Amino acid sequence: MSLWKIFSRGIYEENPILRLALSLCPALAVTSTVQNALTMGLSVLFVITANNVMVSISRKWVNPKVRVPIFIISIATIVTVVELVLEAFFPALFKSLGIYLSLVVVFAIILARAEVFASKNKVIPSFFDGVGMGLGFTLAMVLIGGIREIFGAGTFLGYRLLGTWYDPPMVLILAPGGFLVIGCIIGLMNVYQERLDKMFIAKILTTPQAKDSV
Amino acid sequence: MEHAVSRENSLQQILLVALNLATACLIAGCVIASVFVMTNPFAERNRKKMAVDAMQQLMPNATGFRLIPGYSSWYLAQCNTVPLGYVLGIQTKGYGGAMKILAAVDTNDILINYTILSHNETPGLGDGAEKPKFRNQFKGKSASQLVVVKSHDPDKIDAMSGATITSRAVTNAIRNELFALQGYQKSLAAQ
Repeated sequence: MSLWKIFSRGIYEENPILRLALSLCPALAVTSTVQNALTMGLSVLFVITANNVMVSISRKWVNPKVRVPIFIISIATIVTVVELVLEAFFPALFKSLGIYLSLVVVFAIILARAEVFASKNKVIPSFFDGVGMGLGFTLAMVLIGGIREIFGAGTFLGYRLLGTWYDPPMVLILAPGGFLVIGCIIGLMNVYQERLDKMFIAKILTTPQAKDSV
Repeated sequence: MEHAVSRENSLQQILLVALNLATACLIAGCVIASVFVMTNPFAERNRKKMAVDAMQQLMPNATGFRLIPGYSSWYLAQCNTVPLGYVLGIQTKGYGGAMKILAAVDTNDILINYTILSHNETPGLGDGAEKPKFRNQFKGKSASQLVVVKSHDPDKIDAMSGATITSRAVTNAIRNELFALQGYQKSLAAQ
């Protein structure tokens, strides 16, 4: 599989939140504002790439029977090191990330990629898989956060978009609203994908050469 | 014979697995420890600087803050040797967990301002406690005026809509700390 394919499938086809339905927890909890969503997405992007690389480098020495605990140790170590470095040299960034960075350790998507891909592939493909998944995660988070912040508070990244005439439904900022937004996005994406698949199959069946080969 | 061999093998297997896990933990521990040793001096300096910066922002005229003996988070704010007031570090529990508040009072026990150092309140609702709309109500009030009401009473504190628990947590924490400060001042005067 080409490196581009490995990278790009994390963005749409196998988008962690909207297709694999992994890490819905942060997708719900951290997307009430776009700023939080973006910050969390970028943190995850960094950790998942670093972890994929570490797991891939050490894949020959890890005993399969304890691989999951060892992956978690790896993720927790990476996150702790990032926290320590940020607190020492980038205190303002550390303060704004706050508790979000610690939470990253438990995200299913990071463990899933380590288990499904990084432990069975070489370092460079694992790197691109991490970047693709992290980027797909971030884009999904910003999409969800954007909808929730614009329609739930009338702002985007803190800038007021909708005037005071707009009385926002507060449910969008709270958990039930988050569920609804994510569900609708996934539903719409599924409908769109079904239509694409139908068009693709119809195209195959009507092209003479393709029909012969089928 | 076969049973004995397989039991020894599985014991060996368990030991190998355990060794594998233990080695991973050891490596991780060493990495974290060495990074900590290298970064902690800088982190400690940053923590102290952020604490002083936060206090300086609350009382811009102060040139120095002295820790009050016996209290781990109360500071006397001075301009050279003239006492300007106090800065109180307060820990309380809000809607979403622990909150750290820094409150500045003048020498007449009137609240000057406060700032929230850390919180876990709901974005868009409880985190309004940091914003001027809620915070400005506190300026110039005394401890007995720091009571949350739901009517628009300029003499008291108007709760944030949709964030009553956060409003109460912040108000009550500051009020109680002010009462404690008054108790301390009385005990000083009595000596």
